[in-house]
Amino acid sequence: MELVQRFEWIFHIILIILALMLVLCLIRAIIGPRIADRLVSVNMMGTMVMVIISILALIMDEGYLLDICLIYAMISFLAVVVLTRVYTGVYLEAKQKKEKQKREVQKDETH
Amino acid sequence: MLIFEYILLGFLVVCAISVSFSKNLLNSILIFMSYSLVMSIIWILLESPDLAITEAAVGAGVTSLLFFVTLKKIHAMREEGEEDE
Amino acid sequence: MRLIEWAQFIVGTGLLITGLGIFFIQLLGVFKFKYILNRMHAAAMGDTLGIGISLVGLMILTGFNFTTLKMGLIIVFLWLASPVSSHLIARLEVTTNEHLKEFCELPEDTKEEEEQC
Repeated sequence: MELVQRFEWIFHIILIILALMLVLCLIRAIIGPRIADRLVSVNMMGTMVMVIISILALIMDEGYLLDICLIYAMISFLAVVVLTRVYTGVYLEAKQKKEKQKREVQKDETH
Repeated sequence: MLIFEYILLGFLVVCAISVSFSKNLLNSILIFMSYSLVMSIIWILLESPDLAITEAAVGAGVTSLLFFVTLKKIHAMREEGEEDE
Repeated sequence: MRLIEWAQFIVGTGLLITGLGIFFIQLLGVFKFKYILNRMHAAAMGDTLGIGISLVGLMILTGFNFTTLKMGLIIVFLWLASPVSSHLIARLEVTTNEHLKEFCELPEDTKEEEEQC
């Protein structure tokens, strides 16, 4: 363990590179044209934050931080499930409404 | 370690600005979730892991998911493309 | 005793750096592909392999105690959850994208279905 303390600068560099990648992920989330791109990049950010937290847990020698990492694993999965279910539900409802209107319009023309 | 904190704080600023500038509500909620992701790292760096756990559980978990569900309730779930129909 | 610690340290940081490399490749893939469905291949790679290798490296670094079990639990949970979430995102994209045919050619049977409805 004292080796980790002695060579702490390696972990600092790894943390800085991961933070830069996090910013790039955020840019991908902002640019992303469709909702699925944003969801994928938020998922990626969650994974990177989990690696950052476990490296911090190693440096600070605290096992307590890994619970946060576990919470993030579950939450990013839950967010994906909830958003996909809610979004497809809303989209299909809108589609059915449109088809109903189209059928009514055709019925009026035939009469 | 200091540069790491500067990058993360810069990330938070970019996140906050892009939440307010995004037209689509769904997009701002997702960026709000990434804001709370990074916020909990900063809580850890400030040596307070309990706050980090609450921020993680509440910020990313409860608030964002409740925002998704409220969006469905108020029928505001629109992609930019669909508005101009 | 010194040798084991040195070996443990070198193997751990080596795995951690390969995990970092995989994250870099994942980011490269996400930025290079234009359409979301190909972009998701790169993104899912980091979720399973990238974090798996870096957490194994960290497990070696922390030696054998309670935190290693937590890291193992995280890896197992992620290897279960990440493919499911990628599948859900792909299904979300396919159902909500009307002009899907421009981006990827659909298999023959769904083409006739789409012509009919």
